[in-house]
Amino acid sequence: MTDPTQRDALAQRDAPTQRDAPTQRDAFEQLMLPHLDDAFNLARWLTGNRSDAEDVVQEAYLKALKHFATYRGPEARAWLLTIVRRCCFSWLKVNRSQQLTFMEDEAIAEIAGRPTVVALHPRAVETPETQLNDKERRKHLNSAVENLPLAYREVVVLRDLQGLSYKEIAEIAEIPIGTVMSRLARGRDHLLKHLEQRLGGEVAHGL
Amino acid sequence: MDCDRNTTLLNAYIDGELDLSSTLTLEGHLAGCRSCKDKYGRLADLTADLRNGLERYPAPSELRERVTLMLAARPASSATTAAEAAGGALVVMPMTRRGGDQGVGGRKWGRRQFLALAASIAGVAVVSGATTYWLMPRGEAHGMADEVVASHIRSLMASHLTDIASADQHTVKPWFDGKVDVAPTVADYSNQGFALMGGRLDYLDRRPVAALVYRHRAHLINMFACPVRAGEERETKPEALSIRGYNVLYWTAGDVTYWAVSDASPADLQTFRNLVQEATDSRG
Repeated sequence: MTDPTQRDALAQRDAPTQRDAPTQRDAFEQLMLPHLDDAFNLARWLTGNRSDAEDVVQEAYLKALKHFATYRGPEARAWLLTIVRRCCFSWLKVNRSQQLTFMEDEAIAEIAGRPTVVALHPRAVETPETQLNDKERRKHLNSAVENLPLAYREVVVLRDLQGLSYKEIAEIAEIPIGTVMSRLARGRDHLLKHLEQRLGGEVAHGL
Repeated sequence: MDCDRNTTLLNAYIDGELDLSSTLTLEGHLAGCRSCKDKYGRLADLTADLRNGLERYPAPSELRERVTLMLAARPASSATTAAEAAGGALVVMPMTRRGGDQGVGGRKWGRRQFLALAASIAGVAVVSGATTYWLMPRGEAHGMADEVVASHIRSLMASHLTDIASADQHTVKPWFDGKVDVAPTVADYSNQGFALMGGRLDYLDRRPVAALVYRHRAHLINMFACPVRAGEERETKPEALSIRGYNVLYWTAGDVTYWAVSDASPADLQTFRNLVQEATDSRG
């Protein structure tokens, strides 16, 4: 946290409008900073690595601050995550453009229908299912989600990890609720298929 | 019912996002269809595993520091060219900006920026003003009861019944930690006909409160747990009210005043209240 005197000093440098600015900045901080963990978690799952996620989140906060005037409440988290997601997609467009080509629903349906996709931890095949411990199950589960096509991964993360409602997910991902529902259903089917294949018919329950 | 098309409904059902009439239809179907019931079990296990087993990445402390510093160094709504230009550098390395002050400190404020800022502050003032008005207590318990009923109706209309949809009290209860000032009694009374559907963060009487959602046959019950204010009684007998066709029952136990609201009958609400009270007592 910033030392308050330091912050005052910084704020005072920007005369004369700074008289009013702290009020709004305080409101921004109060509303948006509590969601930093959620913002980072989403960015981490979408970009796939920590340092890019950090940069994306910081950029998102900067954008959010700039556009705070358009915030009409009360769902601060959903509003912020919408911006975080957009920043993630701009980043993906530059750095992982091949992932974005799978965003079309038709393409996704086609992938979902295919019997095999990415090989997850080939070593696991040799391991008898009875010896799989919780740690390994967890590893499989996480890697299965990491390997999900982006459009599935984001709804699964938003719903199952971040516990958002369908309505909020629709808002954040900028898709209709019906699409949220069908992507979740297909994404989870995808995961079931993979995990049951990997773990010999039994899903990794009991985590 | 077409079993192949049920997958989407099953997912929504597991997520607590299915409307009541579809829920009842689906439950009827599940009772008689083995393959759908099997699918339901596998999906429910999967979602529980995802919830418990997926990695949660908390924001690294460096990021928290970077964002906090960035906010401290910048005015809100500064949609200026200078800000755009400085933005790129800020994203990469904001700490280096603290010393030098081109861009942030040395920026001149144009009329347009000033108006934008003023307008945005006015916007916030209007929004918060409206909120304050809406949440003003309109005299004693009945004002509160009005709010409770309004919140109940909103929760049914806005397809935002639950923030955390789960029938598991051990999932719902910890979800409220740090979000509200009270630790409400959270329990599932399915065996007695009152099934826990989930929880939601709500805002009543000018503070965040825990809302728990239960289903009793075709009726939904919202139960709000509000912290008792200083000077208020710690134990009160249940009081019943009827407002705009909804039944309300409220009572205080320890540090928490519970408000139960539903279109279920007053007798059902009383039964429900007794279950909550028993659970509260056994919690000690």
